[in-house]
Amino acid sequence: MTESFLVHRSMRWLRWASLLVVLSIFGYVAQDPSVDPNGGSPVGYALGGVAAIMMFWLIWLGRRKRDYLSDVGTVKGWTSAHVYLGVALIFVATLHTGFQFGANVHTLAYILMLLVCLSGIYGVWAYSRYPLRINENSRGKMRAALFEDLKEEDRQIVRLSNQLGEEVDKVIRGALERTEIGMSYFDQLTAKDRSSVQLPDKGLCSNRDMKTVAEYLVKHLQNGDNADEAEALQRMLTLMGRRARLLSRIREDVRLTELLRIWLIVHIPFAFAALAAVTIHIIAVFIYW
Amino acid sequence: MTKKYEIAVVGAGPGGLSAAARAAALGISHVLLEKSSAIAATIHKYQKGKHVMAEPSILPLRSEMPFAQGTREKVLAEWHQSLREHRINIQLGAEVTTIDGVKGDFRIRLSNEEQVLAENVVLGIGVQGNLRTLGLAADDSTFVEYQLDDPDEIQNEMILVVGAGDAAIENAIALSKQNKVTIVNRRDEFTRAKEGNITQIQDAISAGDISCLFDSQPIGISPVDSGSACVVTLSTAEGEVALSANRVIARLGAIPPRGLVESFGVTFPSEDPSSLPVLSTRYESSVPGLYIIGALAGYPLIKQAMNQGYEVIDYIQGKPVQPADHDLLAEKFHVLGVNNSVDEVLAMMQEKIRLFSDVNPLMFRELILDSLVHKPNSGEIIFRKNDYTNSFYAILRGEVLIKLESGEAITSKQGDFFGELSLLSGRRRSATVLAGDNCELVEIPRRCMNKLLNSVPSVKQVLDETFVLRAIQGRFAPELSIAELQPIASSALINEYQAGEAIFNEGDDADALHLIRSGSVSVLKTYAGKELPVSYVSAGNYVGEMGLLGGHKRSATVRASVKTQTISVNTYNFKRLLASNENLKTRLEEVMQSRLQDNLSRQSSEEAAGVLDFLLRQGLGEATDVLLINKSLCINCDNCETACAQTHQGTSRLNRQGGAIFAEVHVPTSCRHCEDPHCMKDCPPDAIQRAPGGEVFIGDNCIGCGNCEQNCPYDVIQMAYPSTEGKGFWRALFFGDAVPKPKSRTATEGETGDTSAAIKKAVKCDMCKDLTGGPACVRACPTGAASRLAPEAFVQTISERYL
Repeated sequence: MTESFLVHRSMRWLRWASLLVVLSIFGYVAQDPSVDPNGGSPVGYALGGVAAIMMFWLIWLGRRKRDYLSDVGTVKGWTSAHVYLGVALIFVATLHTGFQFGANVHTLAYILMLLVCLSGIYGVWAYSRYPLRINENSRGKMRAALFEDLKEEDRQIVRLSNQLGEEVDKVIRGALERTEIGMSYFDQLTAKDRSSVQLPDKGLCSNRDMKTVAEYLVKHLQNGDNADEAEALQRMLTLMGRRARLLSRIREDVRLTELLRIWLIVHIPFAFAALAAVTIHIIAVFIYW
Repeated sequence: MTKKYEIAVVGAGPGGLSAAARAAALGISHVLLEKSSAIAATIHKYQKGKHVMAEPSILPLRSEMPFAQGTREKVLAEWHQSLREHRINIQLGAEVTTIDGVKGDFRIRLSNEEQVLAENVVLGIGVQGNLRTLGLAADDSTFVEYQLDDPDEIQNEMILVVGAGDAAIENAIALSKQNKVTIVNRRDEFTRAKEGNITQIQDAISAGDISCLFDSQPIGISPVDSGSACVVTLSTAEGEVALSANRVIARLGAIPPRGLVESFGVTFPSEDPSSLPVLSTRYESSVPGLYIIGALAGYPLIKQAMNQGYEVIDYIQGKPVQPADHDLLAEKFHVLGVNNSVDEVLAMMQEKIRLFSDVNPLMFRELILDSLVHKPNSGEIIFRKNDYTNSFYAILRGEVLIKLESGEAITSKQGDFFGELSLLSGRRRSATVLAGDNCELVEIPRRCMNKLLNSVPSVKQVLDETFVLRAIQGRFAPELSIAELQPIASSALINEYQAGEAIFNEGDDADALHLIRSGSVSVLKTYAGKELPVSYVSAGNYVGEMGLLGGHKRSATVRASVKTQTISVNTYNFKRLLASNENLKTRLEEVMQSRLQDNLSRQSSEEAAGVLDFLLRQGLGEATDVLLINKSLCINCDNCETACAQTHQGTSRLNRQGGAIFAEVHVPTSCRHCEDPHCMKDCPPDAIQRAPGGEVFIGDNCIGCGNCEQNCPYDVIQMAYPSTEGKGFWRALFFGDAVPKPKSRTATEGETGDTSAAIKKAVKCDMCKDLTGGPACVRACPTGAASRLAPEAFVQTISERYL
């Protein structure tokens, strides 16, 4: 329906980034063979200068994204350029190193930059993969609407639960109260269900996917002989099944949404770390060389 | 012998109070009759602390009573004080049931059987009407209530809600959370209410949250001994039933005052419910000696009503007084450079512009007060083709040139009018208009013109005839003269269709061509027994040419996607048009070719039809520009909402969490800038306007009444306090509040600290018309998921995406 940032303006930034990479490689290969390729050679300086400016500009996306009055391009255009030039930076910076690595701040800066770029590449992959999966999982509903559905489901369950015996009612209400979505960050990433339920004879049990409470209801159904109650229990089982499906959909929504942005945890802090390391690298180079 | 007053004023609203105060100040014998137990009943019912606005600000106040904007309490306190100071003779609880007699000898009967005699009567009873009661002996008992202030205050009661309209349903649902509610419906289904409310009440009934008695109505209410409850007897389909209740809430609507006013002998110009009584420039109705002021006379604002209250007393006294708007009008006419009085200029305008000759002078004066008078230089552009302005122009002097698509220009002369196409269809201007020599124009805003159309049938008739003629000329036969077209135009019909109604069905005999005047239609084909849209046609275009040119049967079904008006030209006249114009046939055949191709290609994609069907069901048929989000690209970053909030005083006008999704298309809760905006329909200060670019926006003169919020069927208008600007980026970065969060659409209230001076005003999307670069939401989207499209464009993109 609309144009993705990856194909923005017929991939204008992919073309510019490719040109930059080709020129860098050409410069690197074509430099005076008597000079040992390193960051201090004329070509090395040039590549380093370009890479430093690029890093600063790439980080500037965070500023531009929040400058809502700016009409310097669109954020989509900036993102497109950010992605392609960010990938190009790997080439430019690597050539700048002249493949000389060591246990020093210079290599640290390089590794940090590499981590930022690679996490960014994961980000692009995540952005192309997860939005559709999120939409498919939630059947075209936003998360707020899913929670509305859950609230409505719970209302129906409570209303029906009132018609059942006191013990059953208590178990069901307890199961609703002890429903967990999320808990720890790791649980969210794995969509783990830590819900539990208090049963009269067994105490506190795990209630994954509402299974325990369903089993309890089935047992009640088998033992009972009241037709009205049996019918109500049947309906309750249906409701519980629906609730379990809805809950797993919500958990999956949380999981996918988290996977969509988990890379930013690496990308953003490491970008600033890389910027700091590069600053030290530049100062060090000018002072000690 | 009952005392006869010189003036009796009915209704103690702003107009009535002001009239009584003027009478008292002049020492005239008077009485002020008010049916309720307090003055200014409407303002009295406002919520506590509500800010009362004094619009229009340019109009000076002329009254013995003070009035300036302020809280409800302050305004009422001032009026109470003024009431005492002027020693106004007021009778509260005096409901007028009949008025008869003639000037100098009116007899006013009250509901308590008393009579009041008066020489003149001033009617200022507003338009709210009287609430319908249950019609039982117990109507006034403590158990029966006719309004509900705060449903949360009532708990654990048995409540009977009587009625089937929106108010009854909303009350019943709100009360059912903490109480046992039974809703009593006189009919066997809910049909009078909004669709959303009907769904809610049906769900609540089937879920057992609310009990419902259909085909029922209360026939008796008697208290039980303890006094805290009553027994309500109801007649139902199964016979009489008795229910006990703590409270009966009757929401039966109001009886509009028109019937009452007509019973006094006052005539109205048309059956249209919104039409206003016939009045002279001195507010005198068709009954001599009976004057009408305020909202009932068509002036809904407090200050206007107060000015009229003052003026009407002076008129009755025969005092020469210029209305308060005199100076404003004089200034407006200054541009004309004539020495005539305001009244003379107004009379001259009515004489010269045929369209307005039948309009009553008072209404015309009001119309001109809201209008602009221009004297453009020769060659100056009045409006351009594709502009979105929709005011209406009448030519007072000189001429204008209307440039047609073909490049030719038609001249329109003194007394003529133009701009009616955009006025009626809500669409872009269809031609550029230039001023000719010695041109003088009156520009009338859309809202005022619509009010006039609803009140004066002759204006509507002339406008409709001209519209048809020009539409046929512009669309099919620019070469033909008006005289040649006249017989064809006069046999053309104007048809109106409700949303969803079929204009014609696939397989029907083709009998006419339809030119869409307002609204839009969808063209549908049947796939495997299911009707799905293949295309969308907006106002200004035509449908049905295929049947007339090709076979004789309709090749597809055409349905109105929103309320739609069409002009139909029958086969016979259509053939006459074709015969008279060689080019027309070629042109129509080209259109038909491209449509046939479209239809064929779209038929092959059920998916595209599904998406189109979804979008039309979302009401996009009446949209001019809509925000769509591509779910396959949206990363839930909310930068669109943040951008909106940051560029619009901290409140986001779009809700990304809201709205419906189909396949990958999300229509978030955001303004669609409708062709005929629902929000504009009832805006007292006329604060909602359409910019030349098509943006529907709310101006600074919003009075916070909330009408637009209620009238918008898409929920895109919210009431919010203006808030302080967001912090700068660097300040926010280093001193906290890293990204100033957008306020959620629901939690704007009470967040901005000192709100005592500010009032909540309506806010909505203005498509960032004041920002360079276009809508901030779209520009801030990092992945390209958000886009704003016109309906024609999304039909196009959908085909591209799915074919």
